[in-house]
Amino acid sequence: MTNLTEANMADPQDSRRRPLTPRAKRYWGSLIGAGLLGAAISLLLLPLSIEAGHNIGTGDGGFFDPFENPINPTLAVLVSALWMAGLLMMCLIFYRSIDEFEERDYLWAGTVGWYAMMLTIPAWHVLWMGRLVPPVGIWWIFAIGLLSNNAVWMWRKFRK
Amino acid sequence: MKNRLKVLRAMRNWSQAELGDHLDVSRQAVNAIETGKYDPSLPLAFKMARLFGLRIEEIFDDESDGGQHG
Amino acid sequence: MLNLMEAQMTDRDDADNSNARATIWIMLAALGIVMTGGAIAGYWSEMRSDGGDPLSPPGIIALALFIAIIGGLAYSIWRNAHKIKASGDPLSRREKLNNRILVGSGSLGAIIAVILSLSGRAGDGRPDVFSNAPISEPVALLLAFTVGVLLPLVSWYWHKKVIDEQEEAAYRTGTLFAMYAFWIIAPVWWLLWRGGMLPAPDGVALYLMTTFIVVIIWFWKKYR
Repeated sequence: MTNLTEANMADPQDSRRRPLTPRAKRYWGSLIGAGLLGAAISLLLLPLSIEAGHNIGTGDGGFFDPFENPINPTLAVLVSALWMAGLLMMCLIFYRSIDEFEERDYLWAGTVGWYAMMLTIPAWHVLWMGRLVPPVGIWWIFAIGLLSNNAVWMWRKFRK
Repeated sequence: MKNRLKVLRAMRNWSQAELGDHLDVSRQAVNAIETGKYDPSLPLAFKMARLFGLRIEEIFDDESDGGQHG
Repeated sequence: MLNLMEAQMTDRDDADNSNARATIWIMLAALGIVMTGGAIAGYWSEMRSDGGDPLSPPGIIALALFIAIIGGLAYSIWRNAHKIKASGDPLSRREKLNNRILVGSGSLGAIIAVILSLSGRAGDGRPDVFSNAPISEPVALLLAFTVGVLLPLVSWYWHKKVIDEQEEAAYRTGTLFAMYAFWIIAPVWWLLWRGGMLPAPDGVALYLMTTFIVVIIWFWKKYR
């Protein structure tokens, strides 16, 4: 009887697109905002890195390394403040918009992301000490954490 | 969430660790649930209800109805 | 009736939150002993490299001071362990297994630290766990295997079979905060380094910093 009822049940909201609720708007707004913040900082730093590369170089184009070239100290402090304040604000908006189900998914994603970073760092470090690999690159660690975190979160959120 | 776990445990003269053994959780988990600092999952709440022969709402009170269950 | 019963109830393990305090003291004292040991090694080699005699009267006073600190910390461990034992706080089966795994993992970490100390040497030749000096390839591969393969397996078992849902929740919160801390601190450190204000970001320092955050939050949420 239960199975029959369940099978016959049709959720009228499944078949049509619903408008976004205020909670969903806050949710997607915080995620897109965090992405835009990262993109804005990258776009800000890239031309400065190129310019710094020219200045350091010997006049024939210099060298360009967006991860290494020095930048203006004041700018470094400003961008750091922007990153900290922006990320904290996005987190607050995000956490105010998620329900307990998503919070649980995100906690799991956090644990997996953390393990991915924290197992990679010492393993990489000792391999580097054996001079088998280059030194630990924090942006690689950052990317490993971000990708594994997002993979788990999306898998748990969107699996059916 | 308020609950009667401490009273129910005392009625059986169990320590927190003994109740933890019955529920297969640590003593800290029992302590956190008793003091309302941690809300157990549904499977654990059902396990408690079965252990004490009660319904879940006879152990836990979500305080949303003014404590009418009490 | 219910309230009366609750008020009259005396529970032998109600007051045992203090065991968390004793456990924290034991952990801090153990860390202190390791650090003081490192300080003795550093002091000894510093004296020798300066051509001094570590066993001269001032040297003996300094060493006696270090040894007294270690003695005090060891006494603190003994006293707090005794306090936990005397509280009569029984452990459930899960907790006994959990404690064994945590002590085992801690010992493994200590062994790795000793191997690194003996393999890596600081500029003046003294053992240094934080030295970045080269180590032999087999040692590097063995350590990488331990950290990259064995540790994930132990962690998997720990999550699946050992800890309960309350500890799992405490640990998950700790790791989430630690991950955020990494995501905030690493880019800021990198930016300030590029601005010439800090030395280059160090992966191991970030690792220690975030691990510390996990341990603090996990412990606080588990025992508060």
